[in-house]
Amino acid sequence: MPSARFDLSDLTPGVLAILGILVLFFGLFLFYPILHVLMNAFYTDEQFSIEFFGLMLQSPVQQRALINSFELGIVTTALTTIIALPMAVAIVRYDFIGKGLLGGLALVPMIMPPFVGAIGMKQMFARFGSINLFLLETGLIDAPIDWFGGGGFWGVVILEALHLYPIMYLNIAAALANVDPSLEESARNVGAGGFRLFRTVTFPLMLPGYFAGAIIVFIWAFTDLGTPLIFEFREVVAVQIFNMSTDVHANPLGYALVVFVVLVTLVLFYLSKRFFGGRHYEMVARGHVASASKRATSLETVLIWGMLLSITGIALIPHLSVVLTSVTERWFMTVLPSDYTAAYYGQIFAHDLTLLSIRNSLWLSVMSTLIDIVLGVAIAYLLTRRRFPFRDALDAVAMLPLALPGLVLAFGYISGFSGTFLDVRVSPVPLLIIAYAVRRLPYMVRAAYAGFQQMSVTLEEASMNLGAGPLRTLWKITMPLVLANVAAGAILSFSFAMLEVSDSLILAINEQYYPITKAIYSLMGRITDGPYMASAMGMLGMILLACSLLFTGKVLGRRMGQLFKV
Amino acid sequence: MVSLTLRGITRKFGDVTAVDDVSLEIAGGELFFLLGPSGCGKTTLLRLIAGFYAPDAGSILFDDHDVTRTPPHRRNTGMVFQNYALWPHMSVWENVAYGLVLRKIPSSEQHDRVSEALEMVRMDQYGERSPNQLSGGQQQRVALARALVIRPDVVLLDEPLSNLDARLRLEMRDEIRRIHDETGTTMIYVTHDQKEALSMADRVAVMDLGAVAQIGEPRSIYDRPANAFVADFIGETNFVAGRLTRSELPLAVETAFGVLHSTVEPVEDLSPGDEVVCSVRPEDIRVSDPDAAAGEEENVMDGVVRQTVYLGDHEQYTIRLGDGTPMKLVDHRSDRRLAGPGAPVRLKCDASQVVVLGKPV
Repeated sequence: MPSARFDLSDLTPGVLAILGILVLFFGLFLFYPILHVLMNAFYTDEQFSIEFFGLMLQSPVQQRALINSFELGIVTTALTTIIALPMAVAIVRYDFIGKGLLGGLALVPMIMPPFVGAIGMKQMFARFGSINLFLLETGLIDAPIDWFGGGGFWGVVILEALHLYPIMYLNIAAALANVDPSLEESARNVGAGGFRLFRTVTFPLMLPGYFAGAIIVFIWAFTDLGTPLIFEFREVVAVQIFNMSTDVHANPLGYALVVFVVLVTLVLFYLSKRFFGGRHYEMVARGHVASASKRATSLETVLIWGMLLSITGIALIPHLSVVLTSVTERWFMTVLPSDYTAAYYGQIFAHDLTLLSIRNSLWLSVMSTLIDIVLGVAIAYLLTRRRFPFRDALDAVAMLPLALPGLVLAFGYISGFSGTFLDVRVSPVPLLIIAYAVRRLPYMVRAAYAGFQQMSVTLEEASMNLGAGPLRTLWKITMPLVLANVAAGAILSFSFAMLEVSDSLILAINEQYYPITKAIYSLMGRITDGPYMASAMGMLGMILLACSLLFTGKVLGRRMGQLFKV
Repeated sequence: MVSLTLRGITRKFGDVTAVDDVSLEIAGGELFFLLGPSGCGKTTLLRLIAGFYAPDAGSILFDDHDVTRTPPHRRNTGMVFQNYALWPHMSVWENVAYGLVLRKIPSSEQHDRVSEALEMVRMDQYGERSPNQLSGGQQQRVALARALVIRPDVVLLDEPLSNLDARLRLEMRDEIRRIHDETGTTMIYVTHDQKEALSMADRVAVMDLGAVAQIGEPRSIYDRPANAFVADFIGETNFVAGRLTRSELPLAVETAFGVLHSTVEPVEDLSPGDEVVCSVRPEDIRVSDPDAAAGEEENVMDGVVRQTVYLGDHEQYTIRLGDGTPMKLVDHRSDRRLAGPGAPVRLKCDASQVVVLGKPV
């Protein structure tokens, strides 16, 4: 069988043209901005120097920010592990009534960026927020509890953990499901059981999958911008970079910080690749969940239901608080709002800023999704159907944005394209579209890749054999068969683009170009109706996401879960 | 009926030469088999004929047309894939009609031809079904109909029966042979199953390491293998090593057990003094009591019975010769056992059943 790494006869002019476009795209919008940041961080006055890094490490503010960010990342990762591990074991290893429903519910918290939840949470857990007031009224406590202690640190951690545990859960579940049941059976056969079995066989085998999830969670928490901003926990790396992005020319410290983030990311991925053979890029869609599961007893069923429902319940508190805040007329020193109103929803569509931002986000996301469809399908097609030099490199590059914090990319765009026709001060629209597209491309590539891979090449060959040319085969056979996957990838890309935070906050400078997320952020600054309108906007985002997920669910049916496997 | 000519076809994948300088002539209307172990290049050769690969060297002709550089969709071949490759998003009917739609056949004629093709494979009741509602054997039939309906110049079958169970496989052998005879289309059939090839083929090309080892009718390949690989791969055989002492008929080979004579003209070029092996089929060996056959000295070997296996319609014996060489023999009269384990026996074979072959390297 053909096993060669590449085949020159596969390099048709069409393939070469696609490769050329991809090289240009990634070169210009992925590598150039990062290189630009690197150059600026290391070269001062045409000379190589690490002066900025010295400055960065000496400044007490930056020191504090670095430590805080690391703590955020570590604590959030630990917390998501504690939540997700038992969930994954329960869902992968047991069969029980309502498994599909609970498994789906567990993913719901993903539908909202944590910083929107932060708005509602502030309302609920503030010094004189609902929870404290409730506890005071019932006499359980005498003085209000500082829930977000440490200047908002725990608030940020909790929100990120509640938002990110589904990612951890999906990765652990996939890793668990991929552990060949026969390996566990043979361990049991020689006498290992219970926790010993888990510790000596199952856990080591699922470790690569776990680390893949842990790294994504860590980087996310390490570089999240929105949540710390809302909690005004400003001494973190992300907020520092955000502040410096407005004057990239005057303050070179921003470059050094961005380079530092890139380094942390690289080191983590290098380590995981080094120790786990880089398995985190593997497709997880092939796991056989059913083969390893056993029927839960009624007691186990009750325990599992209890655990899953309470996790989901707690994870949905931010959402609930956003809902409540959005319909609040008056909410001051009472457990629940004293008066309700739907007025803010009306105002969203009357208010210039909000209406414009919805229109902007729709337009930007549609455009970026179109780019993702074209590029993602082309890349997946090349990776699965053609043999050409540097295939692995293309694979790695297409997946790179998954590991690359949005912050880094946005900062690179601001500095790298300033003074060109793409300058964000002229119009951030092109760069916003491209940033969204680059950031969400991995989802699209993966979804399409899975589709192409599941589909036997002989289906296409049979079509050509019967007289259909390559284009007609693509249209009549290939596309219909991968349509579901492409749709899933596209909807996911679209939804995440609609609620993209760091790129939007950094790149959209003028109010007329604000996307939804930046509008929400700027609304928070308004004392009077800010939080209410922001919550109403957040609700709108959630509804939109929920709808698109429902639609995807209808298209994909039982394969829905694969969509979220990062 | 289209004839096929392959001239000096070579195809490499990286450092591996999958097909090595293969030349073949396939007559119009022939049911031609490419037979060989996995990795011998037979599927690659079929895919070269279909146009899914381009050869590194050589040319492919359909009648007099050179199609070497013609893309697969302009070759008018009908291929049946090992996994059937039925499109799951189309019904059986749509699958079969696909090639006709591409050829812009008027819809009334399309209808007739699809019905006819489905009837031929006895699937006319299943047009509305989706492929994944069909059993393996039914999918196989639909795949065949889809390939035949376009009236291809040549039908290419890539291990079409390998995914079916044994009983269905036997049934489909007859079906394909029948359909071949009814349509008269040139067919090239790839398989690793020698029984399939021997029972169905007009002619067989046995392939080894990317090259053609022997071409011929099933009978001649079985009875007169061209080399030790073919003798070993097709059916079962015993090899007795020796040295050729006489290269004219009858050939004489000196072995550890005496001289073996052969009246079969060798295909290979052999001269006296060459190291050779004598191939004798298990069913061509007879057993006699060493004492009773004391007078016979022509083509005999003495040994001891190691094992006998009773298989209903026949019995298999394993006999160890003096130097340890194992010999297999088959006796089709199962009403009696020739000799039990441990018994000394004398094996005998006709000079017309001994094939002298160059010693494999």
